[in-house]
Amino acid sequence: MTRREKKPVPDPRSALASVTTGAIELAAGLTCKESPIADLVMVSAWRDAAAKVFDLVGKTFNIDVPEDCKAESGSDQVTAFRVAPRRLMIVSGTPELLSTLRGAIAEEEGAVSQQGRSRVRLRLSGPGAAALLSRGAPVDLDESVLPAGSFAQTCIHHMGVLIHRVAAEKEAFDIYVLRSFALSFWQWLSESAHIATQTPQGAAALAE
Amino acid sequence: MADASTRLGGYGRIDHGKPVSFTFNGRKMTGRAGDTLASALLANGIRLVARSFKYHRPRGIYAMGVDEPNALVTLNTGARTEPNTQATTVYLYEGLSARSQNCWPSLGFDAMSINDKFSRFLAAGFYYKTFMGPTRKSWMFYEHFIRKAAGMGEATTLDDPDFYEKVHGFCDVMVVGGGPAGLSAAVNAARAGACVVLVEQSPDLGGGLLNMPAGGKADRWIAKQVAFLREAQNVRILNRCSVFGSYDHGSFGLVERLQDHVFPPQKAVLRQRMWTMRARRTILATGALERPIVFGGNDLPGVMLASAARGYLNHFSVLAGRKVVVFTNNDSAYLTASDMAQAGAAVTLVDARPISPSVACARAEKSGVTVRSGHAVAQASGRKRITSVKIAQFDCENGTARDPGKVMQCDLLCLSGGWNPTLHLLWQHGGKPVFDDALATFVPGATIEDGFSVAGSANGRYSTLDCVLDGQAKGLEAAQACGFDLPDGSDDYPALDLTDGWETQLLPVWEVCDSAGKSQKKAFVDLQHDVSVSDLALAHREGYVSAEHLKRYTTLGMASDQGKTANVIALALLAKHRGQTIPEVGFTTFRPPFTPVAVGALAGHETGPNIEPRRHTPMRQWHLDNGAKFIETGIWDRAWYYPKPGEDIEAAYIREARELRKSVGVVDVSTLGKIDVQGPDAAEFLNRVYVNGWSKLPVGKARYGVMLREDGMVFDDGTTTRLSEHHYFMTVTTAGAGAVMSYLEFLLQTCWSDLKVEVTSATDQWAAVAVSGPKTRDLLSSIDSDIDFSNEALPFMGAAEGTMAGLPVRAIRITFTGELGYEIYTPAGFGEALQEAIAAAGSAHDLLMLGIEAFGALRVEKGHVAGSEITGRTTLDDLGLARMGSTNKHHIGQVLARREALTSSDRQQFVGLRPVDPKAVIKGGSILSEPDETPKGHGLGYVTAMAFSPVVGSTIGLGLLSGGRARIGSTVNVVDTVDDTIIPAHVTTPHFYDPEGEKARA
Repeated sequence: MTRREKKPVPDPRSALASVTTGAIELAAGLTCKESPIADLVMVSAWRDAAAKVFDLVGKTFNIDVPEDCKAESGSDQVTAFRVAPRRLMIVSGTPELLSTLRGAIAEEEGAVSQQGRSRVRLRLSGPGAAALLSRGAPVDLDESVLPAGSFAQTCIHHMGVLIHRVAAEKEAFDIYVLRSFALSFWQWLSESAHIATQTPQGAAALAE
Repeated sequence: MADASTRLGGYGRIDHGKPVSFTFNGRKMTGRAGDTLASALLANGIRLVARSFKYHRPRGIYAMGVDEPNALVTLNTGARTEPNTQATTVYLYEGLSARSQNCWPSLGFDAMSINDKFSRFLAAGFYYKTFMGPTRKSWMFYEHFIRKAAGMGEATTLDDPDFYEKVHGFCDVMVVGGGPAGLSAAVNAARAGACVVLVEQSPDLGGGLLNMPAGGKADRWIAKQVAFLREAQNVRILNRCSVFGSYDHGSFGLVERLQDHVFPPQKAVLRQRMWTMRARRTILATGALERPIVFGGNDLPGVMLASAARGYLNHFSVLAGRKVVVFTNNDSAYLTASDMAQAGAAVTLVDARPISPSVACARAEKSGVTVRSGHAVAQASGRKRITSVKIAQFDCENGTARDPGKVMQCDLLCLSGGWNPTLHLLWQHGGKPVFDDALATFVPGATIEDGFSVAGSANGRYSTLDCVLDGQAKGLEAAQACGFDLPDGSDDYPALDLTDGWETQLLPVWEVCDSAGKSQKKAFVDLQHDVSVSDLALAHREGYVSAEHLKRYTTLGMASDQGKTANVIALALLAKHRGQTIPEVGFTTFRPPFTPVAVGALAGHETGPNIEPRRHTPMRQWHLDNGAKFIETGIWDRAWYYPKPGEDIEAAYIREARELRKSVGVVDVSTLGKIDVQGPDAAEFLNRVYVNGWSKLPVGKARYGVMLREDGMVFDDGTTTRLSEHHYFMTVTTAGAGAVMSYLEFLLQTCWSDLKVEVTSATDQWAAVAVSGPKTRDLLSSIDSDIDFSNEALPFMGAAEGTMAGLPVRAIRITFTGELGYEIYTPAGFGEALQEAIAAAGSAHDLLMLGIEAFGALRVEKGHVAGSEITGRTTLDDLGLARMGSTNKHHIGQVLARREALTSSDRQQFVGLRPVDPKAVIKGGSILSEPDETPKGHGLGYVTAMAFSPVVGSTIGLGLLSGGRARIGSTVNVVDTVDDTIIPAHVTTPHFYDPEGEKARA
């Protein structure tokens, strides 16, 4: 391949720029906003090298390797989700994640796929966040089942999502959705909140 | 039509101080808060409520809940019209309007009641036998009139103004039914610590206990349980909510009615909520439904289930009759008789059994009831309501009424033929019922489905104490199965012991025949569908001896009540005809829904534009801002064309296609499926999935590839670029992306787990534009970039990585239009900026915005295969791509592609079509036939795609034509069977433009 010297890259644009630029209150105290992703990669390990690759990732970012496909592990800068037995989705607060990992993982051990612009992350926080998501997500989002720091990969209105209950706020979720679905997901979310708040019963259900 | 009010003071659980106004058939009436429409109608003296489905017979209120077969009404008007609603399940609200259906000109005088006079000709199967000729299409003609003559209410075609939502719920223990067993089960499961959901279809908890006189021990017990449950943090009570379906792995469909009990306001409301509930354990405490006994005239208004009459009295404070006959074969109806006598009615209880239960009988007689043991009601009479019954001695052996009998005047006949446990949810899920001879009904088997338990009268325990104890045990058992338990030393929770009269065994009585043993006329089994005992006999005579066939032939057990009062009786009568026992006859399959569910609730807000999610490319907003018209292509929204003022789609795409071949155009191809393929074995992997070879593809080069399915048919095509030694970038078709990705993962995980290869979808990661046309290089070279777009540096099928306008890009020199072209990829967040940069530079190069309509037209001109040719029924050779197939390696589909039928020379092959008359228009989907021949069947093939070609100067088509390549140079007829046109066309190669590909290599 022909490679030349790189120039500074402009900021990427939001897939939701046409509908929102900041936090939106969906119901009383329940807000949603895009939480930009600086970088995101998929790290896959070959069958005989999973332990080694995961260990390398752990050492590279100084994090514990996720033990299962439910609990994330991370640091201030990096969150690692084990999205499949031999695959990690690593989300970084800083760019250049890809080059860091490509340098660490040999091709004979695994692969690193650049996915930094493939997903949109939404932060849904406030009372009723789990109830609102339960309008679409066929997984139990109760805190006893999905405690802070854990995640679930599921589907909402036919759109694949990863739902991560974050510890930063009392009832808050980061939702990762494929970029091409972001507008439809936003529409589903706002429409569901609108319907849920149309009657006292609907509002009460969110407030439970 | 109406009698004096039958509302009693001092009875019931309604709010006597709160009148509620409503209308029935336009007449203003008043009910009370807490009434159902049925109880309010009874309170207003209304007995005739509806006309029956087929014979238009007068019908009244028969039951008190979801088992009501008769009293179907249409609620409200306009967009909120709700037909076929059981009056027994509608809770009254101020302003409710209800009207009868299936009657004209009025309920009282219904012209179509003449059907009843001809009922002997309108038996089961009448329509099938009578209206099938003389031609095959005759039914279409008759159907219009038949639908007018028989049927139910009419749905509105207006948009539903209200909202519906869908919710997923989870719990450890779901208890279905809030009667004594359900309350006990929920309390005990909650005490043990399980997360409990208690579902009750009525507004109030208590179930059958609410049919007992108000203010007693039962009410105090209910209040205590409800208080406990409402207080508990681990309990959710869903009232006005029905579990309508039972599905796999402990999942259930529930519909919660949030607004159906209040007058709908002008604005839209959240009307219903559909729950998908997933429970680790489910306790069915769904009670039992009373069944009637069949005899002549048993459908008249004023014939009612005994438990319903008791409920109307004790719950709704309505005495449904003053001269009451109660006909029973079991103990439970004695309570009805006693309560009604105490409320002031003259009551005669007719018990088919020779000996009455002593305690219950004594209590009834003390209340003033006249008890006639060993007798039966042989016939009910009256015109629009019951006026008398014939009571006769009953012969238990033969099930016959002995002559002469005695006629007794009455205004209400209450029936109790026993009880059927409500086990629909268990049986929907595949549970097998067992017939209990003592109860003469079906009960749960000794082993039931995993995750289920059944408590209370649903389990064949009919006394209140048994229900409570059974509920408590099942509640604790379910909680324990989920890992919870009562704390050590927990007290037994107080039970409820009521004297509810279950002393002696019932006598199975299904039908009362005349003294000669014959069934009587107008003896109905399924009241909602007008299925009589003679229909069942006819079906049996005609060979419908299986329960399932009987159901379909007679329609018994179908419609909104799902035969809740009819099914077991029908099986018993079928058994009699077959000379078998009921278990030998078998059982029909139960399917959801248990009760009717509004389609709106199933849809939620997935209607209109929200019916499915759409996918958008990163440049969507740019296209909108620049005047693009959009089209839905599968799940993607794509820029279709960019009209100039006054242009329609036709004019715009032809202009765009024409101009592109002179200048340069850009089209958004971000929808292409993109797959990141990495690993030391990536080349071997590609060798196996593509028909052509990949090992020798140099880094920095792209190659067109085709995949086959295992059966040898073409699966998908696209271009794959080698980015580095072990890293490839695969593109697949927009439509095939998901299927290809799944298939590749399947292969790697199951067939070739030894390969060190990883595939990752990169469709959303990359935005892409295809820039093509003779001026492309001029345009791209004018944009600030470190990529050299010259022919030498980036030849045809070459690839480079670098930047354009400061954006990271991959440029691959490939083209779909046949012109000099490049696909430029950039991470999706920069897609719009890339589009802007190209557009900004384009003003100096006559840059054309191209929609996918023109893009498609250009591919037709160029003769590339696409989705309309890769149909799953075409081979490599069919598509003219046989030369691509490598013989030096194995690939998927290679062996089966050699099958004789797949290599036949007369297979339909990919060709071009040009009309002999340039003005003629070839239409997509047209059938191809020999010249001067009317096409037969599927003809010789068909047109897969068409477009107007500026290059050719006419419409052109691509097609699949039998032995097509050998026919090049000949003509065929292009036959459009829709518009009935025939166009002669030349058969050509599919490549109308630059067949040598010189433009693309320029």
